[in-house]
Amino acid sequence: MTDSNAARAAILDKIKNALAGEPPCELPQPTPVFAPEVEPDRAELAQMFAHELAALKGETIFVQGAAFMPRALGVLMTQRGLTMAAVQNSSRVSAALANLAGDRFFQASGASKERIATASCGIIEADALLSDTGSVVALFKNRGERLLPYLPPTCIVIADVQQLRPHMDDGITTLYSAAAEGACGEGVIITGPSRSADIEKVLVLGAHGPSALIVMLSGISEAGVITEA
Amino acid sequence: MIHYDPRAVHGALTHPHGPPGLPATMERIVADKHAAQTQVPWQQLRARVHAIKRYAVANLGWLLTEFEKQFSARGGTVLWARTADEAAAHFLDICKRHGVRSVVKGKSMLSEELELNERLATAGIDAVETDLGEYIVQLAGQKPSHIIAPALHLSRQDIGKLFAAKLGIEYTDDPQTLLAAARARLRTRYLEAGLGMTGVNFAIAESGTIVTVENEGNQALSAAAPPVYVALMGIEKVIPRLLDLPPFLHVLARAATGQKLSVYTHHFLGPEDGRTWYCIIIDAGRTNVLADEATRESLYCIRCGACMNVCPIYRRVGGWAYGWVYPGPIGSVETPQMIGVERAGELPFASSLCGACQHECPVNIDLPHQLVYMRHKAVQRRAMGKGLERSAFRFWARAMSSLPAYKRAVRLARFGTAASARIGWKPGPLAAWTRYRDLPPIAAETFKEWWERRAQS
Repeated sequence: MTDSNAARAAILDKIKNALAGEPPCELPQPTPVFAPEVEPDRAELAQMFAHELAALKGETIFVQGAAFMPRALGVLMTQRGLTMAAVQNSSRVSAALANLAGDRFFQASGASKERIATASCGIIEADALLSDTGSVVALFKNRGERLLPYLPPTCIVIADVQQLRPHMDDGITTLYSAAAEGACGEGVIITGPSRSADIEKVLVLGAHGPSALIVMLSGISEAGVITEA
Repeated sequence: MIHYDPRAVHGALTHPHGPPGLPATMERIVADKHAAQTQVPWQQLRARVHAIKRYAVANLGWLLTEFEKQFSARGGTVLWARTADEAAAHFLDICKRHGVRSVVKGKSMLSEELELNERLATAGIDAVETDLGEYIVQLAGQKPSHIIAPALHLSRQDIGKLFAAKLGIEYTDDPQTLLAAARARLRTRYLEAGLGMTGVNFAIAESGTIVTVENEGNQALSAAAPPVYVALMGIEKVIPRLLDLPPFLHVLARAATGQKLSVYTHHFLGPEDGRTWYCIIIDAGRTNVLADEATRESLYCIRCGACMNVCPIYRRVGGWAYGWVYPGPIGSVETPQMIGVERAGELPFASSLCGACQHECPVNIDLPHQLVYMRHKAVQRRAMGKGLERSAFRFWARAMSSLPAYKRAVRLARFGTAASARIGWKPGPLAAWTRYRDLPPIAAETFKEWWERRAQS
């Protein structure tokens, strides 16, 4: 058995000796990289988000309002041949599943990883969307749900225009809160479908995670007009 | 353990590793990076991350203990290791304790330092690399040639043949098909493994949380699918606060691949019900780097690989020629400090000192001066410049110290190079020295002679 305590003491001692006489050094103020926008234009943020995600080969579907989400989700799954969904246990996802027959989805929480791997899509909710990078911020507090964005070949994200943030700096505050509250599991920023360029730097999608990432954004019409304040 | 072998350099010079399009590919990576930098206040961010790292390294001891306290409070277990041997022993203990026979590995250069695959194999534990590039080089029985693109030296045809031989699939050089074959194999491994491990990009002291970035999902699944998770962390990975993280995320992917953000930025918060997490904090020579003020800054490195992509030496000889885990300019500074100048003192000389490495470094590490310092250290320790070479430099120093001596040396050199060009023969050490270098003839007259002649005419 290796003695971790002895190693700890020795390492900390070496660090202390190495830094002896080092003058004090000030930690920079955590000022945001980008100036915060007081009243961001949601329609512009939505368009920017969709544009950035498209550049990463992801997809954004504008849905007029939360009430239209169940129908839009049903249509999407039928059109794409997504027969079985593994889903996150959240109020937003539950509301989106309202039109879906009970035998077409199951809760990932408590499901085995083998079962989650057989689902044709995973459905998660966003905690925030970052417009300038086309990213989804999401939190998963149990083991099954942590696998949702990675194991099924398609990842569907249910989101709302109110969750749009211009930049990462003000978009990952949910991760800060989760960490501060002592949450378990994982917070993740997802920026496009899984990819690899390890073979001659040729970009291919669907490395270990999904090859398709679809964000269903409610509160905005197909024409890009905000419908829900 | 360093496997430095000068023959690797000679081989790389004669038969460069990598597909013919490699230089163009690296140019494209650099061009993408430059384009991505224009989207953010790049110099401001460089200054910020440099200052945060400076603070973190200057306060390393208490930041590490704070991280340990918070990680433990979240339900994880922290273990400390002075050396690669101790770290590997901790890892094997964990495997034994949990009855693990199969390990899935997310990408980690630190695990390359530990030579973990070989050690696990010796203990009868089957470990598989799951990053595609790492998987390819593991199948080929090789080592990575680049820290973020491990299989950069292999062409798609090489990989097609490798997969046909090792995975029993029909030969193809289509990257999508090759990826699908690897994905199918590795998916089974994720589901069956008893333990998964990853490296650590950033460890947040105030929250005790771990941040890793990647594009494929290999770290996600290695960390989340098996019941036991182990994070391998170098002591230099700790940063103070969550609020310090965004500037690093802004620069890391841009510097590494030209992306605005990597596909997945994981923030591992703490073990979920029924799972066990460990974090092994490893020194393995880093405190040697810390102890030398002249190279301390190299601990600011965030392992983006940008210095390699622009280094004219790396581009010519590839990663293997450096003989250890970290190639390129950063490796040439860190490796001799971590494993000993006596063993790796030649590496700082593998540089043209052009300064491109510092210019491209997102943390603005002063690599050129550190390389010069490490050269000096290697010569002082007599790790470099043996016998004739030392005599030649002594002669050169004397010749440069007075004008008459300089004039005599120039005349001698002019005669020597002209004679050598005529007879096409050079004595032993000079022949070796000029095998891969040009020995240009000395000009027929000096500038001063030319100036005086011009004035007279």
